[in-house]
Amino acid sequence: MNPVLEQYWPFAVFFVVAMLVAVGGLVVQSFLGPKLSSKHKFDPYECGLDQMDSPHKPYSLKFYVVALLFMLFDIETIFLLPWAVGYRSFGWESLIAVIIFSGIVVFGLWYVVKLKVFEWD
Amino acid sequence: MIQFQASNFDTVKTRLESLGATNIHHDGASVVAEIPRTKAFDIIKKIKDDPEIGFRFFTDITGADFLKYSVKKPERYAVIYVLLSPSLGVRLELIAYLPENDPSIQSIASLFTGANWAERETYDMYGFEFKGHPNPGRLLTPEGFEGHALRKDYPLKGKGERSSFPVYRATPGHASE
Amino acid sequence: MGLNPSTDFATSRIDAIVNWSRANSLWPMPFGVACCAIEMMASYMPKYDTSRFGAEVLKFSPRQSDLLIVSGRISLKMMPVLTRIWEQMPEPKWCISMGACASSGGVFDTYALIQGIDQFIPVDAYIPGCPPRPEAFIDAVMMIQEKAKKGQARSQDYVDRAVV
Repeated sequence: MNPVLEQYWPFAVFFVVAMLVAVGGLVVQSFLGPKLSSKHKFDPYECGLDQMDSPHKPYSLKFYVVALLFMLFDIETIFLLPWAVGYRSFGWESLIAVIIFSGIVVFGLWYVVKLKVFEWD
Repeated sequence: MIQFQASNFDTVKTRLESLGATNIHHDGASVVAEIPRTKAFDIIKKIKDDPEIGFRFFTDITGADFLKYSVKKPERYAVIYVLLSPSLGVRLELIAYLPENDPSIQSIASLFTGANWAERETYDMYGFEFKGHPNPGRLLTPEGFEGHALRKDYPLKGKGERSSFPVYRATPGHASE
Repeated sequence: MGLNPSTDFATSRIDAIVNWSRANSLWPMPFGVACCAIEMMASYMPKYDTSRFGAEVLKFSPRQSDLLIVSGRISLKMMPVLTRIWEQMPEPKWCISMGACASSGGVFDTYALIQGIDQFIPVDAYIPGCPPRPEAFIDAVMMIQEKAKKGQARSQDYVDRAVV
């Protein structure tokens, strides 16, 4: 076994045990549980009343825009992390490069703020 | 606690008498007066807007059925309005008698927002029609309940509504849908 | 496997273990509608703790509970709601009818109240009292535990079977 991979065996054990607990519980329940049904058993729960309204409603598009921007800035953070770890050995040129990179991204953020994306009703 | 003061009673009594209320008396806790049902809305509107006695605080509307009452009353039904004057500290009960063949009266829901549901409850329990009510209908009884429950000729134990529900049944096997 | 009301004793070790674990982790669904709910709340509090019996997780969702505790007066409007909640609970399930009003209508023999919920849903334990003391409530939970250990539940009796 690859010696680098060997140190990760606790993760494998953890994964297997988690699968056993989660999936195993459902499997055991399907064998041991009584199976009965009645007319309204699988109705959506609405505190005992009939369902008044569908939960599927249109919602604001801003959720999508915020999620998209999060993705972009998250990737930017990932790019900054290696530099942050070893900045001492990279020298001054790397600092200038990072400043230019961050400046471009911050310019994008300023543009987005000016577009009033983060202002909700 | 609203402490009743006899000095306020005379102020209220003279004002009510000038508006057309009769039989104004107090029982130590609140002033009770009888008003004719045709003038009920106007009297309540006037005493609500009156700067001196202003009965601005709506408390309740209820009804009464005197079918089996020991004392003979002018009519079988009555609507009772309970109002409060915050400035004087006087609680007022106005009784408006309604005839049996036409138990209807003008609604005061336009004067007091709280009267909206109080009138619906009174309709549900007694069957009085409140003319001009923005949202008439039953309030406390379930859908399909027939009759008006607090009338004296409605049986206390009901007419079988309380035992006519489906019994829980389960069938073996998972539901397919 | 599962509950079989025609046998009183666990027929196998698996059944015994399963019934024991069901009995000691009854998750209540409190259906507190009136004054009995106050005594039910009191019995969940540290002085008369019911979580010592495993009934600690108070899920106010019928889908995640197995013990329905009806505490209070059930009126005409509330009965279909109660039946719907009972139906939405997964098996195995038990029901406690707490107090005089849920068991028989109590002092209110009127047009508006159900004179006993056991006319419409299966009840496993009745608690008399108006309201019953928390000790009586805990007694009922222990009765349900006995029933669960034996593998009995009245909800199983309401099953339409081709052969009885």
